Amino acid sequence: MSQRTSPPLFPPSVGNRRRRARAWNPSLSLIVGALTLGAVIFMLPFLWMVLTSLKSDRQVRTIPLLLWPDPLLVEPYVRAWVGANFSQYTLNSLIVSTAAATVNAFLSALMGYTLARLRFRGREVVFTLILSTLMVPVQIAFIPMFLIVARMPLLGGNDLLGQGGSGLLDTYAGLLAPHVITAFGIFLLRQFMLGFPTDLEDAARVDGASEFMIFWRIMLPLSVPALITLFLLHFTGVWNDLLWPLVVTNSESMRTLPLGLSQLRGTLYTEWNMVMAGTAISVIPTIIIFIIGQRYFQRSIAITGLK
Amino acid sequence: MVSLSVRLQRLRYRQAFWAWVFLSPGLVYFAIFLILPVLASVYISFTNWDILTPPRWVGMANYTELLQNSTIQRAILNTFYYAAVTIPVTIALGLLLALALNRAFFGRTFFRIIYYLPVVISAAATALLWMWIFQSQVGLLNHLLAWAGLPKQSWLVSPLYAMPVIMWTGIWQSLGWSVVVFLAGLQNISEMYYEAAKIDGADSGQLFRYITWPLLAPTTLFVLVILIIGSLQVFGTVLIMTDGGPLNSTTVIVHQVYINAFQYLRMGYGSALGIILFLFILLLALTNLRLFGSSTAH
Repeated sequence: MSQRTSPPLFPPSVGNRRRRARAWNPSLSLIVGALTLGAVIFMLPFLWMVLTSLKSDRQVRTIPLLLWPDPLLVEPYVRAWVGANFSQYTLNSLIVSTAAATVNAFLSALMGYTLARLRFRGREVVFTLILSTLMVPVQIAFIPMFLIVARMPLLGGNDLLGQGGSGLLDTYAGLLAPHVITAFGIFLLRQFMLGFPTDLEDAARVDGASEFMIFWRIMLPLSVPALITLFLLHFTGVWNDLLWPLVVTNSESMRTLPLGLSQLRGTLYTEWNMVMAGTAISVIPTIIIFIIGQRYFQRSIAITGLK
Repeated sequence: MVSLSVRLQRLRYRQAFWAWVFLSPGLVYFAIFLILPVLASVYISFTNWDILTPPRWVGMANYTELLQNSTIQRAILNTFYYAAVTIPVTIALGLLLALALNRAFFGRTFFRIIYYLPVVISAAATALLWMWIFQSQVGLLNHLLAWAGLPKQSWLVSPLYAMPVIMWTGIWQSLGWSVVVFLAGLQNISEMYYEAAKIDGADSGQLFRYITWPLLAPTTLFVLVILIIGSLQVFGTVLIMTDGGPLNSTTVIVHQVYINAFQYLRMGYGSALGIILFLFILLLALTNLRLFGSSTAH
């Protein structure tokens, strides 16, 4: 909430107040006007996506421009979902993103708990090390990461030395590999758990609870808001990733939505109504997730103590 | 009876034991999927390697070849051009929008959600949405231009306009994030400062210049550094919208890493370029932290 409208400490003179009131109102409506214009420009691609995705290919190409689809067609969606196999891509994206977000939330909580609440030698060193990995861009690690995934010993037809087969390439495990834990998640959960009073676990410890029980029964339930935040952030992050699915999958049936989207354009002729239907299928889930959980998204900024 | 110090000692050992048990899966994972790849990447960058035959040590050859290659030079220049335009615009517009949204009025949350929406969708979707608007024959923008009596443009197939279109797409996607971060920063500034300055008769320009801007400096620095890291790694929009064309006018560093490593199977060459990118990022981020970090240490 803005507090700029709170009453001033000393009442201003009447003339002063009138001047401020006059200066305030037009500027606010000007601001709202500018914001509305900006919002329209910002929403335009989404709006145009929906309108295009409900037209026939011929309607898309009419000159002059046909603004409103007439008649409304759901056929482009059917073609994207069934014909272009977006049902499979959506399933793949759902599996990988859900698995990644769940595992990441659990492991981040466990490590965050350890780094925030347990006392042991080397704690600060480990924490600094984990934080420093935030600086490594994926682009520097993804070539060897690809090779590690391809050469996983004893998996995907590989021998003990990782030769002979294709390892985890073209599998869900391979798609998941770089997204299992994030340093950001550990940092987020650690910051969140630092805020709990110490009496919580002291009381449990006196009662003889194990460290894992304290984590499972006390810390995890208390951290639910931070866990939801992390889950949503990581889910959308993995859902939207393009580079890694691009290098780690070969077969069409293992594609995720962004990868499917990137291949949807024809080399000579593009059916834009179907492309926009595919785009809608890929963006609507994250938009819904964001709108429902928007306070959780914005909370991450507060928890990590951005100042 | 066991003395208190012995029991405390035992408790401390038990905690340390469990601490390492809890940390080990994550640390092993980081070692295999982060630290090992980074080290391997450095090694691979000194070799010639097509994956199929064993790597061959070539010393600095990849690096010297890279820096002399005109396509790579173009990619590096394009990447910095992209960063140099998108970062200032994203910061300026982000701050402006945050200042506007920091006032109390009906519909504030609505605007905040609208501006944030592009942040939560993929680069692939972003690319397609704007490709369709900028499409040369029947795209919405060309329809509007024709309607206004202006000539149509072949946006993404033009070496002149392709890069600005990709830049605009990048700004559209990251602006909402910078707005939210600036809003958080603005709300951390105590109202006391403004009240005090108003009593002294400061106008709104002075309030911004002497209170908001300096007190917001840590936030601005954070936004700047994250945008540097992000924009130097731009890839998805380029791959889908132009695949680096026309005439290499939009190719960027990560695009060249991807092409060399996974289309030409030149792992060493690609890795070397990845490391050059990392050095650029590190250098720029550290320079900014050095230059502006000291002035923000309140």
